[in-house]
Amino acid sequence: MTALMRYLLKKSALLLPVFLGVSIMAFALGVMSPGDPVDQMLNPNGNESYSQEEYEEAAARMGLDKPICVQYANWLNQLLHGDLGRSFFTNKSIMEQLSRRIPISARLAALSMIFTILFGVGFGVWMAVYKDRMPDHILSLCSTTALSVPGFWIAIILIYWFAERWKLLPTSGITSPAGYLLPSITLALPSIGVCARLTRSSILDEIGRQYVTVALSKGLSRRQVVMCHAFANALIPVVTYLGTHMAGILGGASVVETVFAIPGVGSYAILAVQSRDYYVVQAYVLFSGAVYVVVNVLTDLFYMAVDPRIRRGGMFK
Amino acid sequence: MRNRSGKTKLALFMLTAILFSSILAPVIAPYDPLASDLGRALEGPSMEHLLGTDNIGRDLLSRTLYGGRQSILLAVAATALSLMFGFLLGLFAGYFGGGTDLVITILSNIFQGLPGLTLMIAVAGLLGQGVKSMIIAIVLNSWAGFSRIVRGEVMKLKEESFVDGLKTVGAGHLRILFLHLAPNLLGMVCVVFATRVAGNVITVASMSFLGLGLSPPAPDWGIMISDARQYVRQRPLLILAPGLCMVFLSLSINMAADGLRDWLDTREDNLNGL
Repeated sequence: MTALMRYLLKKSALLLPVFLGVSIMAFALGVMSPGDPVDQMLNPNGNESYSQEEYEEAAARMGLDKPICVQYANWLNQLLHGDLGRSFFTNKSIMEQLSRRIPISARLAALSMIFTILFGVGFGVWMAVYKDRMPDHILSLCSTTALSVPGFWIAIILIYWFAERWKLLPTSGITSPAGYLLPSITLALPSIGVCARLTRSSILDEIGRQYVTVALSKGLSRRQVVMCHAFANALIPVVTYLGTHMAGILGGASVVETVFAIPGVGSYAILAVQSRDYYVVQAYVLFSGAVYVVVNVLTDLFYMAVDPRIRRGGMFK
Repeated sequence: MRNRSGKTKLALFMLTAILFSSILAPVIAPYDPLASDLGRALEGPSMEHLLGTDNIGRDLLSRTLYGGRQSILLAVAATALSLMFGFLLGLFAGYFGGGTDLVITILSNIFQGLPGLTLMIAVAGLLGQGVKSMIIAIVLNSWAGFSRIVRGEVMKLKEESFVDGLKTVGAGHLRILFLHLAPNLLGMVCVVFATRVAGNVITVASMSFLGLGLSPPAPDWGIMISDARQYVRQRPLLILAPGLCMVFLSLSINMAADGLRDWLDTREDNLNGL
């Protein structure tokens, strides 16, 4: 138990500065953004005048007269109470917008994750079993191609063929569950490529180890050894990758969400950038950082659940 | 083994072809990539326009030839810049360890904590669209990856006996770092650099596609695809030509990098066997 606690403490000691750093970056983004929020508050149309006293009073009310560190602390405090502020333009609560959009991006991420695990890991194992033979050559070319294809391009092509020509799936939006299919395939494609290559090389690394030689010398076939022995051990780097992939889609599927007109977190950020809505961009950066931290913790918990070496603290001796 | 090196040769051939046609675009392009002829919009392939024309009658072949110039140059320059920062920081972090290492590692974790496009979008939002903000965004985005890998390698290398030997003969830290450790990392750094360039070409195109990168009417693959979206039904070639160029470019870089990695591995094995 102590080893476990030490492991968790060590991990959180590394993750806390990451989150603080991201929050400082997000805060700095708001501070550095062009335009004066006090001016924007007092003079939303650009044609009203106000006196110096009025300006100072408003600044004091908004807490903008205090030193920057105090402003940051206040902002962080607000955050901890679940208040991300309001959009400059629509004046809607950012928290509310995000909580409506997060489930949509999460569904997209989950579905593309399923595709990635099924095909990415599946192809990787296949390639490892048939190393340097035909299936390996073909699949490795396919996976390298998959990770070289720009998402927005393949999205347009998929929409054109599957939705417009063959009318199999909806072109955009998420009015039906089928609407998630094309975008999640688009998102999964490069990660299937990366995941397959990673799984292959990770299994091949394991195959070089002594326990595999033992298993082989006991007369097991190569396939049995890969499936039953090397596979579980080879999964660690793959799970790490899947974690970052998940975090990436939750926070950063902006291109694909925009092309498919999906009202997720990523397309929200693009809209915000286009209208120079800094508070939203700020919230978006913060959200991405938070997702990264949460996913990292989950990945670690997963390792502990599956890998006794980590559970017993052996990794850190 | 033969198959692998054959693949690498093919990749290098594709890469050279794409790079040369991009460099020589002003010489070989049949038309001015910006000259439009509204009377001949959305034409199919013909003898005059080998790939046809786009929605305002610009020659597709010429635009495709020009289309990679800016984004490739941008991706290479920005990646080289981030390599420089990442390499130096990783070198110091791995070699000196302790406090230096802790600070650099936390910094690189912060920057890796943000998914690729998040940072790009945030920077584009702050500084406005354009080449400057894209370079800054790519550097902020990519340096951490380089620094992390270089750090790991240096930590392994500095345990080798040749470093102890150098210290005994009185070589200074900087001398060891730059004259003896850095050259050992060259091959590995080339592999990472190449894959990163391939990724960044796509990132630049994605940003241009979203209207946050290069701006129209510049002949750029990302912009061309964004322009042609509405016309994909009439002229699929408008989407296919620039897209396939990007796929081939990125694929050939990735395959060449794989070849280089294999070659480095086998060379290492040979050395170990001695």
